[in-house]
Amino acid sequence: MSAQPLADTLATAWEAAAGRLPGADRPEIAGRRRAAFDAFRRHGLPSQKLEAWKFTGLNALERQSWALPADPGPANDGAADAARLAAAALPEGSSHRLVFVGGRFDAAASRLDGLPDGVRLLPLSQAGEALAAALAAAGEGRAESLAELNAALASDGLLLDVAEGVTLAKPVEIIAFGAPALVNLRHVVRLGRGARATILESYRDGGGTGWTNVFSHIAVDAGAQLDHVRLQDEAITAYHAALGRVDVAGDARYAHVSVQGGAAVARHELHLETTGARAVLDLQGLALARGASHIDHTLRLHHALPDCSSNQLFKHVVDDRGHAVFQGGIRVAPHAQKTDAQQLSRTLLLADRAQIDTKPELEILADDVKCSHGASIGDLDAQQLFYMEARGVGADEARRLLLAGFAAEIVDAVPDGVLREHVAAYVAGWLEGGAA
Amino acid sequence: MLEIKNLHAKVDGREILRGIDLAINPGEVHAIMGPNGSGKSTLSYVLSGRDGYEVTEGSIRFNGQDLLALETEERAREGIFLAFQYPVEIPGVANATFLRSAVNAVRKHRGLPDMDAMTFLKTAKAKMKQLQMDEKFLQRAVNVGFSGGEKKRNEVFQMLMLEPALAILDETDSGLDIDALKIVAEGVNALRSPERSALVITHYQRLLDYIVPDVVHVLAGGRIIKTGGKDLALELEAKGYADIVAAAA
Repeated sequence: MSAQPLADTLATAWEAAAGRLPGADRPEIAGRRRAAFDAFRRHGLPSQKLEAWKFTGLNALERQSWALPADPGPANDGAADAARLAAAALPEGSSHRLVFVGGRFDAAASRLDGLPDGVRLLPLSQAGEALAAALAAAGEGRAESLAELNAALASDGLLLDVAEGVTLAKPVEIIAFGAPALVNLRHVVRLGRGARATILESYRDGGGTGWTNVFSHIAVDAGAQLDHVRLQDEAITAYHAALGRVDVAGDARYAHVSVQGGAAVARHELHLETTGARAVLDLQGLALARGASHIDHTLRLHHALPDCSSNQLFKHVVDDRGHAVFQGGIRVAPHAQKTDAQQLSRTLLLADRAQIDTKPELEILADDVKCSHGASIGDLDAQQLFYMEARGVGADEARRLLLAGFAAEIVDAVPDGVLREHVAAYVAGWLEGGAA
Repeated sequence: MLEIKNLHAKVDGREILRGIDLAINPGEVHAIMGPNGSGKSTLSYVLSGRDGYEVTEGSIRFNGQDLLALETEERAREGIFLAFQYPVEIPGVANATFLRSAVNAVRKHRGLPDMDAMTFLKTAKAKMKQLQMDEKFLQRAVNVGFSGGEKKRNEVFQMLMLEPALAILDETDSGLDIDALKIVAEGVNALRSPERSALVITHYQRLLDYIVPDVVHVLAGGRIIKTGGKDLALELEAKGYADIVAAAA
């Protein structure tokens, strides 16, 4: 326990680590990292006084003394625990895989062979010239201060670049194991015109109370399609904060499924913008909170151009003293006519002290649009339970089947095949009490 | 098999059943008829143990056991099956998943091993054929988007899979056209045996042309006011309930 303010302990840690971060030998990168750290220091952690952070407090982060992961030396090979990796990964051979342990690339556990032409897939630490662009600022303000902290300290991450017209058949899988430290990962994904790819991004319990801070920048060019599945299953005492910026060009499609079932406090925030007409955003999420877990999905959609559509479906299963947060912000620019934006938040509160804060936030400046939002909050349906029990199904099994049925709509949004089976197994495991 | 004595029950503090006596022997089919609001559905819910249906007096014994001491799922595993008047929709849960879970819960209770997926599928498909149901209904969510008739057929399908000792059919005929009614009745008749019994609750006599009862009861005002043979149903159909209710008052 430290009496020092968070920024001071982090400053000490940063000074010590700066020299061994990727790109430290290049003045422009070292300079950018210093500027990013100064920006974080100036703003501090996002406060609950900010509207966007009203329901999720990070005070607990201030009460602990955070170190950066110990330096594993030049290689981090074999750091991933074999049993944990096998449990967390897609079947061997079914994905292109990057494994990170404590924020460092584990080459031995990763599988980067057999990539088609036109695909660049690397850990960011080996990305050379691309690193400078990857560390560019996400914004200047307290709401983005964690992204600046991330730029200052990012030790690694994913770089995926799919060239125009190329289809990546196998999913790209990122598995990040936490560490009892502050881990910063930064991902950059770019799909060229008409390209197609699928990503599974998993955050897994690495043992101990850690803080994972992720920033992603995703650009989907015209006519391209990205399926992006995200699984957050950090240790139940861990903290997880992620911010993603997604730009979706004309006629492109970005489909996202986020499943969060771990961490003491977790926030997954996405800022999406359509940068061309007829872009499609298909966004689904499932928050599974039990114990004292606090799980937040925050979205900010900017419909900047005409004829784009977006769909948000977020479901929450909250038990015990769990707390789920859903914030769905939609902004439709004045000239973004014929926008179709739908939003639905559905919640099952399974205990008296379980909580949900669900907030739609619509700012519609165009006049010819279809926008809707809705929210439902309830307990499991007594009639459905009775119906199942009247067939001999035990009360616990009936509850489990109903919860699986509630989650099914989100699971079914995951691309069919190994990916969906993987997510379905995770959700089933959580409902049986095995996960988290 | 089933012995109901002086059964009184309340719903929302209001007494609906006011002293029912009824005994069903193995192999018998009993029909309960009566005007709307007479307590027919309440009796079916009390028998299956639904929350909110409070028994204030009387007893129910089922195969020698105190039925009222059992939870809903225990009653089902002991062999009581309620075909619902309004089958419940369960989004996201496949008919097959739900039914296999039910079949195996009942089998476990009887000391039998789980039915494996292949055997389950084979058995289910055979029963569905018997009821002229499309096999696609196995993969669809329980009752979601089913027509009224499809829901009732699904109830009888579940009944055939679970092979209950006592089947309670709560207005299974409502919402069925004559062809569907015959198919459903054949399904119920297929289960008739010297060991199995049924309690058929209906507002109309029509169903009893196809499921011929051994005994017919008239329920009114929460009491059985008349009991007779299958001809009683015809008499009710011809004269209506008013005379019998007035005569009993």
